[in-house]
Amino acid sequence: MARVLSYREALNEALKQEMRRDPMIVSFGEDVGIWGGGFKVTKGLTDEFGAERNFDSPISENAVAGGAVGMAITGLRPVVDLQFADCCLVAMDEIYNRAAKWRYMHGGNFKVPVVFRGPMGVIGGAGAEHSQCPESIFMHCPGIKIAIPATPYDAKGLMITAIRDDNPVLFLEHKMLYDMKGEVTEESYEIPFGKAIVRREGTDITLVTWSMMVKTSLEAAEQAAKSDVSVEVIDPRTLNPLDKESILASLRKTGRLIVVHEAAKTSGAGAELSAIVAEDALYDLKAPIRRVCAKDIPIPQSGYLEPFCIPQVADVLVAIHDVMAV
Amino acid sequence: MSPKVAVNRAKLNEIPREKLMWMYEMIVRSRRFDDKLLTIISGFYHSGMGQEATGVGTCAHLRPQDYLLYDHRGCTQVIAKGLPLKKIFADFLCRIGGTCKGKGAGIVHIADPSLGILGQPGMLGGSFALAFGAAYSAKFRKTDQVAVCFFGDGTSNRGTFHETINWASVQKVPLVFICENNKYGMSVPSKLVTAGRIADRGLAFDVPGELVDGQDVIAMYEAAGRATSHARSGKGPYLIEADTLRFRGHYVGDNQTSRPAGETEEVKKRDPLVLYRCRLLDEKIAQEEELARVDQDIVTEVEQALKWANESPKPDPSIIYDHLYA
Repeated sequence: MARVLSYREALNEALKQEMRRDPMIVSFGEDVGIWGGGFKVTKGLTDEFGAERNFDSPISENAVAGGAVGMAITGLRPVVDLQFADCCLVAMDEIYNRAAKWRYMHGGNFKVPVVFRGPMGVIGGAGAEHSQCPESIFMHCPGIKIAIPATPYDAKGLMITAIRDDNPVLFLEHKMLYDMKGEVTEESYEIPFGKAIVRREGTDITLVTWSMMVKTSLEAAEQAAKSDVSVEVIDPRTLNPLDKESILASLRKTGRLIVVHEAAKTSGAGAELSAIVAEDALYDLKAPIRRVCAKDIPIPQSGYLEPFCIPQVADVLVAIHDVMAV
Repeated sequence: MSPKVAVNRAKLNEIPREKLMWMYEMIVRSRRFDDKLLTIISGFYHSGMGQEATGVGTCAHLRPQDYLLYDHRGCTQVIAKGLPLKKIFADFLCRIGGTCKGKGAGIVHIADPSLGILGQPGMLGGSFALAFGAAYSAKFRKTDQVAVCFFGDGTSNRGTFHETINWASVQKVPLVFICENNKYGMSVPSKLVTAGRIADRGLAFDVPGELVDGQDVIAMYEAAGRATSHARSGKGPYLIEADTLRFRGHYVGDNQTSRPAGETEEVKKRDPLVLYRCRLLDEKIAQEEELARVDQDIVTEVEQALKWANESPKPDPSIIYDHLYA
């Protein structure tokens, strides 16, 4: 029988397997030590690898992120836990200006193999500063890759690829997915960056989505099937590099595009995907593009209000109905 | 605690003559380089003229494998770390012979990993965290390397300084902080924006802090010797505040209207080159003829270096796409 792990366990296993393989990998951040991380992804790492390789940092996000760059350009391979993806905003200068640009600015003299782990998304009452999905901010930053897994299997494979990559990678884990269970191969494996996966095949609509919204979108696609609407759900898995070819190939087949993401709509990743389709496949479209995203508001502290802010299955179904009605 | 002031001047005959002459040569090399550079470029160059003793006295203790994060007036530091002048001219002139292969570098981005020169960000205060990371890396790999981070009095007010010195102290990494306090951050006098003595800040973080006459290369040599020995022996970071003077404006063309009348003339009476040259002659370490020969050789070297750089071609414009990812 296939082995089942949670998304959290899959990430933990990826870290352990990689740290056993390469003694230059270090892991650090607030609470990652004995406590095992804010979301327990680094549990057991200090026991197995010692406090030199898995250690607590001060609440000093700039020193953490920039320190990782300094380690990376001198031979280590740091994996940094930002604790909340939102904390990248505190460390923005070190990530956006140092990590992403150091190699380029210095004429290729350095490699910057850093993984910035950012637990993101709405989780129930975390509030406006601890619920954000920052992927589009970094899609606007050449020099940093973005991995954004939706399943335990992908979490492990993408993490291993991220650690082995010689470039900075923003690794966006969704907080609501940590307990998600799924089949995960025990042996170490990589999932190549820039390769989308078709989560559900379909012929009427191309629905592009990632992270937590894959689950929401698949539920909507399932319901749409009952009305004989066939939705193809594509998860790019990495947003930089982005598998444009797979998205465009699907779009040319279906002629309809919906993008679903948990981040706010305006200037979100959906805007970029829509622009790509408008530039490269406008005449293949049979209907206007629809974006199903968070409202353009901060996420309120109230868990009761959260579902009104971010896409629900019903919202995706409305978009499906809209594009089919044309 | 009042910071120690290095008033007890070391006897020159206690320092190897070869080292004394090396320091003289480096100060002259840096000064003549600066003189020449100022005739060929404008705008974004921040001359460190008047501050040469800090970089030279410090780098006298560094080996190629030690790490250097130089500052915005840090050409002396790079020169004293061993980078040939022709490479630096080529970087300023955006030629492929430069360390950045024609991408362009000047007071920032010069980098040579083989000499431990780790580059510099454009953002002031962006070096601290990288220096911590490099020092952590040295400790982790159990080498006896040190990392040296130069910065100005203005930059001492960035949060990154405080984040980094705290963590460096806790982790006892081999990191030497050298503040070149030239009394100005761009146009702003230090006394308007900086509280207390910067060397005293070490006390708050359990780091030795030392105030040194930055115009006296021997005082700097002695202090940097204490600092690097401390760091190399596993005792953790060390902070030096070098009391120094800026001969020129912030950038090329700055008319220095923010400085009191007569100040720029006054500071030149404390020229580290003149002070050291006189001392070498007074204490009969060298004869006038020998020093004059060094002076002349360097004038020739500077001319040849600039000629070499000028003959190096500009890169093919396709270089703009290079070095983004490893």
